[in-house]
Amino acid sequence: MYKKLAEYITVGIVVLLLFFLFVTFLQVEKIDFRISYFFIFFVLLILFVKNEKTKGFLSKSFKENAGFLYLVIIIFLVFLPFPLRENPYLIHICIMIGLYSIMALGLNVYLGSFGMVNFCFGAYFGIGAYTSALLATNFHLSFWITLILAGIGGLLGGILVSLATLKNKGFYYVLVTFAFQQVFHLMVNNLEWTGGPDGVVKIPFPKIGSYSLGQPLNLFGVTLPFHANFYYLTLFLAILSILIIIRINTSKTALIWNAIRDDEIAANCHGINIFWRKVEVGAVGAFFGGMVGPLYGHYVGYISPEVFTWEVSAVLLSMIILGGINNISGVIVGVSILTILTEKFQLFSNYRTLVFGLIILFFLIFKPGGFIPERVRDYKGLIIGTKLSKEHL
Amino acid sequence: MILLKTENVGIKFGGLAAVRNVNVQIKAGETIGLIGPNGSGKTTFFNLVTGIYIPTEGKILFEGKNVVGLPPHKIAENGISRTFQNSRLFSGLSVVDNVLVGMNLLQNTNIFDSVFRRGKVRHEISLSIEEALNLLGYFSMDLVKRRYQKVKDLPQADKKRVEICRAIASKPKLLLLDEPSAGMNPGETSELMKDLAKVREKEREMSIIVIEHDMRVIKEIAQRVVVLNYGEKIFEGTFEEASHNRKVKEAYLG
Repeated sequence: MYKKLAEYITVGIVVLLLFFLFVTFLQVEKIDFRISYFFIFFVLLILFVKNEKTKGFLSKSFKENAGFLYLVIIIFLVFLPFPLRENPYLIHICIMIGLYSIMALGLNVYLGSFGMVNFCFGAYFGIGAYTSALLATNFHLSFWITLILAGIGGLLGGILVSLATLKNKGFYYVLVTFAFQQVFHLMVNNLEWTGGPDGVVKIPFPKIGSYSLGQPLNLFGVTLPFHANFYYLTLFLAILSILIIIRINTSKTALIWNAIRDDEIAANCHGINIFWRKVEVGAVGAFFGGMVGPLYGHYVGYISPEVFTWEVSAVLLSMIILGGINNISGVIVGVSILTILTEKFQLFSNYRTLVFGLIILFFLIFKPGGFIPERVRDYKGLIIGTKLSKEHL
Repeated sequence: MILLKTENVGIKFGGLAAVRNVNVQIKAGETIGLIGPNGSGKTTFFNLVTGIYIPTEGKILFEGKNVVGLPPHKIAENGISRTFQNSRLFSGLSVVDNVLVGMNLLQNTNIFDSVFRRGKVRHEISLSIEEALNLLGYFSMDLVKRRYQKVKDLPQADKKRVEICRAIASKPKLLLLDEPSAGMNPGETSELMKDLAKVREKEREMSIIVIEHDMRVIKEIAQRVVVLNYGEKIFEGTFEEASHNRKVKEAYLG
């Protein structure tokens, strides 16, 4: 009983510390005394991990209380805007982390589960953003309808690319996706009804009833900047996406995708229809890309073609490779690190692609699995109503 | 009842006829050994039957139905399963996951069930895992212990075992084994023979065609042998007859 309580408290304290460091890291602008927090934390961590007893206790607490851990993380995420309310730009960074997380999870369906590099994720993102922005500005449709339509738009784009590449493998597949990306970019840049190079401007803020997401948010007597509205919207959709991806990953569908990734011919000889599965993967991954489009467009207020280039895919790929291919928490860690780094070091924005290229190279050579590598599936939480004993799972 | 019947089946790669005029029949529950020197077209014959290559001549009748031109997954749905000469396991997946993929034809949840109908998915996965572990345990308890290890870390003999498990997990009517003893030492080959006997015992209705260079295996399990040379069938009969046949001796047995 007391042991369980101690485990809960440990988990709570560690997560609290991590969030404290996260907020500090966001707030630090130049070198000051707060940098020392990180050193203290790392020294503490090393001390704890060195000692077998404390290490065992730490890993046990985290492994056995996964449900509690997620609960604590969600509570902290809900309260994250409060310490950041003085500086809306920091909330903006958190929103970008959420948006990139949803997209990275979508791209991870291609890269991690199916083993295909996709370079047209920016196009899926763009299809979603343009669908929603054009419908909202021209036909005054509600954001919640355009959000779903944007997801479906992205999904159709994904199916289109999959159908075009049914017979292509590896390198040729990458080339076709790249071509699709360029076609999309040139089209929105030159067509009249998409606004050409100026894009779409004055995209309205979403509304819940009469409450516009563009006004400051009053929560528990504290006034938060309007960014907080979008922060909570993004948080909600990100959690929803994670739940959907977890459900797919723990079912037969993702297992079959992985089988095709590892050996296409063997999978085909065991009754798996490769063509249909390719369409399925294309649709699922692109849906998440399309869904992020309206979130971004309605939050920033305008969209233009230069946002939706192949660089979106390149950035997302480096995030996934850094964090961990085919591992949800890994992907989110990768997204957080790279988003904060790029936003923090705006000075080096000219060298952004260079830095990302180096990161990809470094990780592919020295740590191909990323920070948190892919795990073998276990079926502990899934088994119901069989005679299998506990130690069998 | 005749399960599989090939009529003058053949394939040409450019000008070269890799397989030519091969007629083979197999009844339900029968075991056939397919032997011949390297490059005689044995694996090509398997690839023709499983739909990886499409024959340029002849017919392949499975349960009386012509399956020529069907894609591999359709042929697998009809009840033909195979292993590969160089094991083609799903190397990033665990032992039990490999067997579960083999079972996918018997499962019927789709992606919408995965997201919206968890009860159905969990029920199906539970049943499948129980069956997969029983199947692995039937061959070796060691594999049950190592069920969450990635298959690329297994020893060669265990890899072959997992591949056979994966192939019979879908309860096929016809099993094609492509050199199951490749890369094994004599001790492991004896183990393999026991395993094949177990397969035979478990699925009495299933027909098996096995390609093998180790004549001990053929002698032990095959009721009949078919000998290929330069893509053509040069002999069909019992192993005893084959070992006394002049043509077979010249071409292969030496």
